[in-house]
Amino acid sequence: MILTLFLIGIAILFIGSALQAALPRSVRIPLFTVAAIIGLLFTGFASVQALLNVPTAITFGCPFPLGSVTLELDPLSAFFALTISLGGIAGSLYGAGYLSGYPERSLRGHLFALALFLISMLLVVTVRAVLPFLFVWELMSLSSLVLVFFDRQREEVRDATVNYFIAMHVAFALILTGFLLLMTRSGSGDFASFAAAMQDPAFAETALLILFAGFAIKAGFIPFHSWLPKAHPAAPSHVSGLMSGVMIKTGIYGILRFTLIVGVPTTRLAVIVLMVAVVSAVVGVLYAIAQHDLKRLLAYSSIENIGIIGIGIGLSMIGMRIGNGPLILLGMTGALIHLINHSLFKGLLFYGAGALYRATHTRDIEKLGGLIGKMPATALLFIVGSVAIAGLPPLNGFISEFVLYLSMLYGAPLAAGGYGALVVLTAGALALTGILALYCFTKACGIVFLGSPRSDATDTARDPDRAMIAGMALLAVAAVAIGLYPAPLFSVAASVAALYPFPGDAAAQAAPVVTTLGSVSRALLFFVLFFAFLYYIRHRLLAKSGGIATAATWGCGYRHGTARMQYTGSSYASPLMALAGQLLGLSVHREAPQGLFPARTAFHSHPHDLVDSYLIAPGAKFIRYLFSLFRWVQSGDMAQYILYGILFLAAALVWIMGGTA
Amino acid sequence: MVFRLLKARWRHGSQAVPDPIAAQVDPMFRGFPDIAKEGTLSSETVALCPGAALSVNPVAIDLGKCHLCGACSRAANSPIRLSSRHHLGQTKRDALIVTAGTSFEQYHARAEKGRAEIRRLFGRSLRLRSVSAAGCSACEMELNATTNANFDMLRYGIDIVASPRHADAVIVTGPVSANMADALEDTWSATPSPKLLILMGACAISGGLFAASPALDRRFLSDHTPDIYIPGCPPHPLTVVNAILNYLGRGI
Repeated sequence: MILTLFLIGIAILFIGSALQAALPRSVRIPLFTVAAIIGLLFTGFASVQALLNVPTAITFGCPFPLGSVTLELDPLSAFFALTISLGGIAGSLYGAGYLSGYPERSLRGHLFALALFLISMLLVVTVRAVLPFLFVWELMSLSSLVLVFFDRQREEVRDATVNYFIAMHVAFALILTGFLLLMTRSGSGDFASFAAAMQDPAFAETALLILFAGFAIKAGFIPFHSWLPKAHPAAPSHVSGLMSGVMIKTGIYGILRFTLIVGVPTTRLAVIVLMVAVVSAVVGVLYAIAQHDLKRLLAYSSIENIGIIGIGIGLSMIGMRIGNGPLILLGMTGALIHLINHSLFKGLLFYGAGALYRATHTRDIEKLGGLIGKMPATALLFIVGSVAIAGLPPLNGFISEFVLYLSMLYGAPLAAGGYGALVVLTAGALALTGILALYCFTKACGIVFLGSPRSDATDTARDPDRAMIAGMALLAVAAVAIGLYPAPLFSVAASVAALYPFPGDAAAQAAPVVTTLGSVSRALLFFVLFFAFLYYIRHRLLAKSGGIATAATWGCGYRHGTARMQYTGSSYASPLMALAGQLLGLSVHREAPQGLFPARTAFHSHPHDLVDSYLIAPGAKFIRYLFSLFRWVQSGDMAQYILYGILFLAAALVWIMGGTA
Repeated sequence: MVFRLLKARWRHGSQAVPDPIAAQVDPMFRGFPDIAKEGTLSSETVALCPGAALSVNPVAIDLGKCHLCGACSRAANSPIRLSSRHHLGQTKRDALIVTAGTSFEQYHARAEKGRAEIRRLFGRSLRLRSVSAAGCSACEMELNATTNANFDMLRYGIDIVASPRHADAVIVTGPVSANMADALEDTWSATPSPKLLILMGACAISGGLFAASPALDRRFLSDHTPDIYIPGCPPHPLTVVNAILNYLGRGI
């Protein structure tokens, strides 16, 4: 019944997107948007039902080569389907507004690809066998590729698309390898049959490591992230929001699904996952701080948040290894809550960046400034997203990081020796990440919205149309709701976490945390009310004293200040870059003032991704060299090709003759 | 290292002036001018004054222009004698003119106190922003000295701050050159109300030696009414401290 609803939702989405292609341009966007929202409401409702009630499965026949396909909504799948549905609804709403800015484009293919993208993500988290999984996984990659390729006139977009294409297929190859390895033991493509195949820990570890590498490319863990900071800025913003908010989570899904199948992972695997996650979180946010391009900044911040989710998963894996209840339950729950939280606030931030791009036609934050006056709604929503992503109360980012800290605080004393130290160090890394995220988003908000305009790009800026605001507001409201009332989401996520091997009664372990979250929620509500009270008092006092006097910014008596003399994003990041610049491959170009009356001076800093410079670039160079060795084969010389033909015929003749003799 | 420092501190002892309000300055100090009632000023004596502070009929000396150099008091048959009284601060420009027969007590009584709101707000905490509007650094050094270990006006809650946004008063030194006119205006408008304007030194009050210079632009001072005048060239730190304290209702 629940899965029927789920399938009806997918069908509505598909039919709507197919229908729009046949209809005139003017009705395409509204039709698609309505179909997407209704369809995703169905799938979202089905997911909630599956989370609250019994998990269900449905099997139906499919043409060759898929055979019979089983869709199953167990709590893990339902949780991801819910995330996808929520993100998809906001994304479609926002996309309707965003795409109206391209009246010259037919959008037929784009909207169809968008629907396929959403459908394939929903199917990725519900199918249960190798072939269908690989089929929808590839469909997801290819449809998102079409979406990224939207602004194809720009060279940057073409480069990013090729890069994305290659990265996704390396991921595909790794996942395929992992699956084939497992199938050699299990003899079946059914995920359920893998459990038996993974009884041998050494074999399971090898297979899982290969699968982890494949899924990590999709999720964007460092050092597998190279495609991510290129593809996200290149894609139109409604797609960036969906890719960063929702799509990369399917990589996390893959990791969680196969961890669930294997049961207790080996120590080495658990530690590797945790280490990769910690590095992703810390290094990702450091890279984010160094960026000038707003969408690149958000892309690196996605890497950071994937790292935080990974920290939860890694802690949980270590917990399973050593039978540590708090680490398993709260680590996994924190990861899941952060996953849905990140899909909310990162979508919101990417949509905000898109609104800014629509208004100013630049993503360079050094060219923006003072936009809080011209785009008040966007500014408010972007700031809500920033507060959430920086993990500050009373928004949802605080809740997930709070649960992760709880897992470490309760878990560390129960963990023996080395594990305890590992957990404590992880807590330190998470704290560092949190403070750096705050740094990163005070930079983004401060430079973009405060101060004076830094270029004429902001001259005509104004808030976007209602559909875009609505898409963003939906996410912001969800973020505030989770922040102020986290207990229901926690219970749902804990029920998913309870699928994993747990010593004792998971529900009993979760109960005190629900109580804690209840008091946290009350404290946050009090905090909000207290702040509102202070604001009211301020308002009253100001009204009594005759309002606020305004005067020009104090320039130490200098009258010829220009907007270029303001604090820039680079100057804000400078103290940190002085420490970490070497680590981040920050190249600085400086032209010092010369002589007594210097005419010009320049300063320019550019962050390079070290993984790109030292891993991807040499690798690509080597592959190019390798293939250049065979370039003589295809010389373009007709005589040579005729020679190939003759040689082939001669060889065939010899072979046939040999066969008959 | 630390011990040497501590030893030096021990040897310095307490350098603070115990009570800056009651403190007397060295008798050599040239302060308030006593003018004999029946005296007259010769034109030679008037010509001696570098600041054109003297007037003959009636015999008077304008402390807003006077540099307290004492040239007039040393001239032959001069009715002017400079005492060592250093409480010279005033609140009205006209009150700075000392006529023949004016006693120090009369002069001092002319200095007004700030209105009740000012005394309530700033009586226990006043922050000054100093603007050196083409000053020669003498006034600036004396202003600096008001916060040193000796005079230490911080004990009264009066301090000098770095930004006009944090200040309650702007204290101007120097004759206000054209190049500093805009900066002074900006500083004033950047200071939140209610605020005080304090002029320190003969240059700030009247232009002093540079009153006739074409390089000055004193329109700021005709647009805004100063609250406190502190005459001298430069004023003694105790003069500065007492002028402010008197205005705040905390002086003698």
